[in-house]
Amino acid sequence: MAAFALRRLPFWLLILLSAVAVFGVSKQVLAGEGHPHDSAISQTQASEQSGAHARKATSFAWPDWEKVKRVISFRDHNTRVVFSGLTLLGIVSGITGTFLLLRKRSLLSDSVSHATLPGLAIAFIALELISGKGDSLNWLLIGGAITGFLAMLAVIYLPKISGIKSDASLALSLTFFYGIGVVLLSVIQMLPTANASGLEYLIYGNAATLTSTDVQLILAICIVCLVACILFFKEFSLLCFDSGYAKANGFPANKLDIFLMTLIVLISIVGLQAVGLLLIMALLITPAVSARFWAKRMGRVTFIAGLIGGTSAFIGVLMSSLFPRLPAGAIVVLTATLFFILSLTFGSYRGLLSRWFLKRRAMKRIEMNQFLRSTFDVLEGDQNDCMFIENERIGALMKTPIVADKVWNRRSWSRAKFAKVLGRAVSENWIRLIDDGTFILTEDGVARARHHARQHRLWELYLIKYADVAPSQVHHDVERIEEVAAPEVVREIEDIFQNEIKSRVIPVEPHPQITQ
Amino acid sequence: MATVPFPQDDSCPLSVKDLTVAYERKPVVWDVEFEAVPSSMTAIIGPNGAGKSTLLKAVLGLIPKASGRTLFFGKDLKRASSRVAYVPQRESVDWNYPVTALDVVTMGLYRKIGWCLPVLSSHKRKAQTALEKMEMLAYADRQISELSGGQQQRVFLARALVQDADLYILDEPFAGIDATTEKAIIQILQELRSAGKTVVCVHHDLTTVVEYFENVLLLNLRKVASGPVDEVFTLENLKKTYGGKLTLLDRVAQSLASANN
Repeated sequence: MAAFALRRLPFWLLILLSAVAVFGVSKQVLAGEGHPHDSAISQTQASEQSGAHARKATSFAWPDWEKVKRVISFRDHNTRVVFSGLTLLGIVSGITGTFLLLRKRSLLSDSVSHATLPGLAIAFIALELISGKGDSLNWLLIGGAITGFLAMLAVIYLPKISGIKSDASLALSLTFFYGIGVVLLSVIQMLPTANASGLEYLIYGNAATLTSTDVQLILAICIVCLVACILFFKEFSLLCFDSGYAKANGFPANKLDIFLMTLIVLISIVGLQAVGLLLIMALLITPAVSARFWAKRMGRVTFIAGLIGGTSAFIGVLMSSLFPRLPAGAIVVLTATLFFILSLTFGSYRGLLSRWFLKRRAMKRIEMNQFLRSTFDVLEGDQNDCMFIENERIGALMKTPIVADKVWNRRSWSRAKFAKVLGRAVSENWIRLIDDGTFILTEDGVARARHHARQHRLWELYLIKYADVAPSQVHHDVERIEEVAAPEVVREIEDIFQNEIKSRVIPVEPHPQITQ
Repeated sequence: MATVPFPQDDSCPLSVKDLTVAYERKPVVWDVEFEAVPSSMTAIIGPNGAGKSTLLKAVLGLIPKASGRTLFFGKDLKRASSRVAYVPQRESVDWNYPVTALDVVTMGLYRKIGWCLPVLSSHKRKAQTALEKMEMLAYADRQISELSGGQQQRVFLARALVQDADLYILDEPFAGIDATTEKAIIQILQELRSAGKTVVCVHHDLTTVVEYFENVLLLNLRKVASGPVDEVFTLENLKKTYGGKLTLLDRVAQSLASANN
């Protein structure tokens, strides 16, 4: 038992560490409540731009070297806080977003983030009425979280209880909640004392106005979500892959599902200030989609998604602190999308380029097989014999010259393509040219041609005899028949050909000849 | 109608009583009563839309029941879930999911590994053994979309095997797979039965029922009949189950005749 506990020591250490981290950060959040308005990056900006607010700056200016140095060296405490907060937000939203993507709920985050609007507005109005000061961020976010959570439940349970499709339930809950939000916003406009600029930041996002209290909240929520994703990694993976199996296996799949989606709601809430409710979905989904082009296992995909999310967030904040007029949220999203385009193109696993290379290689292999098979057909036609099973005449085959045109006649290729394949066959040493129009097979060439002729004919006969396939549909390149048909079936088909050899009947191709 | 005493003992791997499942107002499975015989293989057969898969899903609690009760080894599924292994239909999952064959098989151990605890190398070895049993060890590191249909089914069965359960519930394991895989799977299932395990399996190929199974449950919304194959799997019962689809029945008649000879 002790050995058992010891083996899992790193794991317990991780739990302990994360517990300490959560405790530490949340304590800091509580302590930080005293001085809420020490806006982080805007301090630097304020000194540069003589008090003008970042958003109100009128001209575009390249940052001078002094400023670049200042941002890159993270000299200011608040710069460090904002950078670390948003980078962690990027990492964690990439990771949780992977589960969301694989749970096939990509659009849920959009419904949730839009549904935060009525909650924000209600909280704002309530605060205005109670204290006359509506921009207490934590209360606003709690309000947003409540309506976001309700929207999440609606998205999940509407299809279950009403039978409507899930895309319809997404659309319904998004528009319903957002509609309420818009109405409430117009109510806020009518309040005499209200200054709704704080709300505006939550809709469009503005990382530059984050205070260190805000960032501490982001850090706390992110650490909670990160720890949850690490701890429940295998449960979440199972849920996303096969929820029915998870349930039958004794996992409380529904509760787990709600738990995972609650993490999404939390991330969406803290992401509000950074990127705004319109763009949160991109923060969750884009890194995950990009990561899928680089890896074929869950762990790698989540890791890479976190990496891409974190890098995008970092670059976004960097850009917006160098160019104060650029909105950080949009830059983060655009950077992530850039990563997506790069991944789509160059991704090692399913990127366009790697797929194109694989396809080209496969095409070349298939073409060579077809070429050699047709060559074999020609050889047989010339010899008036069936010889793909016998071995004793292989030596003779190597000495028989073949007229290239006869092979070309059997394929529906253009002259140019045929010449290309022929050239490749020579350079890959399957055939040797005798003169311009004739060639002979090499030893390897004979073996490969014979193998593919055999495979091809066995396949055709197998499909016709056993799979009720119309003979005219059989002609396509096929892999080894032994992978599909049982050995005794292969032997049976081979016997059919053996009998044909014995009765000296030239085997006709079992499908009608394809005309050029 | 005479009441059948509902068994409470834990020797019966699966007992279903009065099970009714309804989508909206229309019942899909109606008043099914059924007991699986320990260490035997039972086929659930019936025409398309007869509610075979629905029955299994309701039994496993994956879809809500309108009424009825199911007991596994005399207990609720929650308390007996470690003794039950489920092989869902192959189409029920996304085969593009980023996992390897070995990862999928390891999922069968997650319950045993326990909440939040990591997968250890000893678990991986267990999963490899299960893959080897299904002759799939060479494909352990393949992403699951790179596998053929038959290979995917083998992976699913390996995931159930690794659970080391006492009752195996399979939903159409032979649908859309090649003959070699079908033989391999049936061989493994027969081995399980010889080891005292119980197998319940939704099956669609009437011609192989006699060869593969010893018990059968004929289902068409209601239970038509259930029991040993040689008593229940008769032309008369099949006609009741399948109605007028005679071409199908002719083939079964032939297979029945050849089995009797």
